Amino acid sequence: MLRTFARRGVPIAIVTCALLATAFTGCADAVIVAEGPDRADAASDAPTTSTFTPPPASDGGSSSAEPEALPPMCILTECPEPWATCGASYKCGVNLSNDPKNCGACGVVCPTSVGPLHVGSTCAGGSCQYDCTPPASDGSAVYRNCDGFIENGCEVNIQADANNCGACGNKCADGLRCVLGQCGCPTGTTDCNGKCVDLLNDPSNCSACGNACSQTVAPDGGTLPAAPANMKYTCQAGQCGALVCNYPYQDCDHDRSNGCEANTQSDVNNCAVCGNVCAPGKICAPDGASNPGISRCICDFGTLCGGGTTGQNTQCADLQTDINNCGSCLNKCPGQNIPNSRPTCDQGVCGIECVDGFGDCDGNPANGCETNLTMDGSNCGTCGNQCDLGAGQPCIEGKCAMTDCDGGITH
Amino acid sequence: MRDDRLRRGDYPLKPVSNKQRTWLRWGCSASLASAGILGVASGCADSEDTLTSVEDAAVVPPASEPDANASADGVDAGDASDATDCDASDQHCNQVVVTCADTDWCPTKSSVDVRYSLAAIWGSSATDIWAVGSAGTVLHYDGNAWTLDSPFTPATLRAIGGTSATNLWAVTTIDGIFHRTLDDAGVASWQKAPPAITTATLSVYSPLRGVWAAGNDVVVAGDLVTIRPTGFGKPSSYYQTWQTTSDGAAWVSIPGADTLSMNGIWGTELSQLWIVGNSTARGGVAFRRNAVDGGVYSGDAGDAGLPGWTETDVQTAQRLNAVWGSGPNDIWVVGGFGTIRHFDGAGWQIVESPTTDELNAVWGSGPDDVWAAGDYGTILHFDGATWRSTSTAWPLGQKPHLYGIWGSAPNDVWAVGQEGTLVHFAGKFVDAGAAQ
Repeated sequence: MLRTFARRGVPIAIVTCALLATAFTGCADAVIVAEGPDRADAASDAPTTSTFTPPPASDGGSSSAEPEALPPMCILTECPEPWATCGASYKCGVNLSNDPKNCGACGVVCPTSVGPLHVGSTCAGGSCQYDCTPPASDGSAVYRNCDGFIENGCEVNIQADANNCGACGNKCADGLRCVLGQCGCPTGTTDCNGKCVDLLNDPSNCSACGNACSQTVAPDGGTLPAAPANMKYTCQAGQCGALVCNYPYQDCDHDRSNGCEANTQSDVNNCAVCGNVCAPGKICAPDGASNPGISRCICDFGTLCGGGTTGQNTQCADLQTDINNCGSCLNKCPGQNIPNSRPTCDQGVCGIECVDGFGDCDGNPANGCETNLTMDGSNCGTCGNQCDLGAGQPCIEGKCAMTDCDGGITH
Repeated sequence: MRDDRLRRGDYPLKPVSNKQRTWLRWGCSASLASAGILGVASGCADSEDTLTSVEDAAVVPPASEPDANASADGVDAGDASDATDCDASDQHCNQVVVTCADTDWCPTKSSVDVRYSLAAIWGSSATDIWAVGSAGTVLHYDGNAWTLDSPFTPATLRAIGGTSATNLWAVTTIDGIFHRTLDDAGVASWQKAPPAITTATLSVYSPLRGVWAAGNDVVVAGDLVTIRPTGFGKPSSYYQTWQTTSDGAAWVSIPGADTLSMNGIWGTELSQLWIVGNSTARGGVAFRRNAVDGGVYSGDAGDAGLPGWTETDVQTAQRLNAVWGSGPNDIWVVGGFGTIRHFDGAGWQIVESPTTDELNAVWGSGPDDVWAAGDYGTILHFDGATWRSTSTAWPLGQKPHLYGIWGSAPNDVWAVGQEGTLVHFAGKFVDAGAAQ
């Protein structure tokens, strides 16, 4: 904080340092126990998790300003809201406002989601809130409680229920299915045996449900010649017998005799589309976890990892930062299973760091970053930093808790 | 455990102005007062964004006014993270401008991109030193200046060793072994050596972290290698006798044991090798190569009739990163959480360490002059009696991790690490007992 003040301006630093001298001389060596639950005034809320607050600059910060007097600060020994001590937790280690196992009070558990009922609950503001589980990621299911009874949960899937299609109570006309929340198939598609298809372009339902295009028999009954390389016959404008390229091949040289000769997934001269030439040194490959994905011109030479016989997806990896390709392809940084730790890859070298709020204070590699620095009174904020445990001072959010001293009387 | 890493070197060093330093000292004095009053509960002092700690207050020189222009003494202003990355109370941070006149170690401008780390260093003499690292960085010192070679791989070169400038090995993976040697025309150049395993596919990507050479022998070491589609459990080290003609040169596995990641190799000759690393089952491991006595192997014989390794009890659960010795009865290993162990010919002893920062490298010139380098700029020295921290004229901000250390003599030692860091010790200890 001081450093920040130094950057913001000299005067604030002066004031702060003088303030500190004043503040801590007030609090010699006794412990002030803050009063209990009746702490309704706003001023008492501010200091609970910080050791001091800067005074407002009363005159724009001229260097001759007198430091304002602030109430002296003493250690706090009771739990500030919304924290509480529940069972064997750290002192004041439970947040009653959002802990689903202690919601509003110790031991009050918000029920976790019950799958068939599609209902879940979370703890917010100290009480359990019920809600339907989130929709499926592919849009195939959105749950609602249409009958108003929470006992049978969110019983309706409005994406597929013809009586509640898209919304509770929206009934589809007779014969129409509810497809992704709409009655009937979307415009331009036809319901063929429970599936919405485009009769103009579907090789299995070409201009009529069930009419599959053949690779050998023409629509007029004649024989189809063998398709050129990487081509096939399909349905176009409602007619079978149309020749198209097999993805990812394209006919980039417009020479039908060699069919669709360019593999747009890997051809550096036709990468993803005909004529897209990659810059020298780049590779044409799918980039990302999806395989096959859309190819792009990626990678400087040599940092394309995976693919081929490695059993891993092809991927352009940044060898300097990728924890699964750190310094070299497929070099996975260790530490993915160590408690409260995560692996790092920095400048192409693996490392391990503790997740936020945790530290390795005991040097035992088996338990990783075992210490919770946000609430451990013996290691508060950093290893070895001990709060006044004898007086019961808790560690709140990584700081030994402080509060105002009792009204005007300093000990 | 490690703190958040440095941001990549986009931030130029901003020397703290005279005014700002004065106010930092005020803050330190105030924290002294407050910490004294609050006694044991140093909660005020050590909280992250409040006051500087008492220790830092002691470090701030009360009277002298350090140079605002630190680059005058060889400290490169461009080679550090922003000072705001670092907390004043954090020992891993340097908040005070210091010059090389006041420290044991002095940074040297290396011309390595600050986005890259130097991972290892080895030399054949004071005028032939090699450092390697991220993105295929290869740096050479000829006694005069450090110059960059053209990279021949995008991968991190993790280890380097050899017998001379023309028998030099740098490694990254099983299929990333590079040999600097004289070609048919007598010109020295880097060539790619055959992969240590040729029968498998995925295994060629397995990382190597150690390399050692003596005479015509080369040994490389790394992770357990998984062979697909059949079989598991090839050991972690491979050996080759290097012939002058490429015919007949082949890698042979030296049998080890179970699931190991091996990191460092040291020895005077092939029959007296040590190899150290980590076992996921039992922590730090140290293997000694079984001796050959007149053609009779003691211990297990390995592949192709080669002697295998015998495990020793190195008494630590922490991974071991490096090994060095002055002889068969004086061997040092270093590793995680500041671990130091010493072998005296009979067994390993636990050695008290002045740090809990990870130690990554160890080298010495003799039994009474041994160095260890590690995370957050840690450099320790052993004088025959105890290990002590030494001081470096770091730029402001978080101190970089050091990954390698090597010297040609007690008064010529180099250490390398993150962000192209290259620091040098010229034989002068500023304060016999001081630590930074």
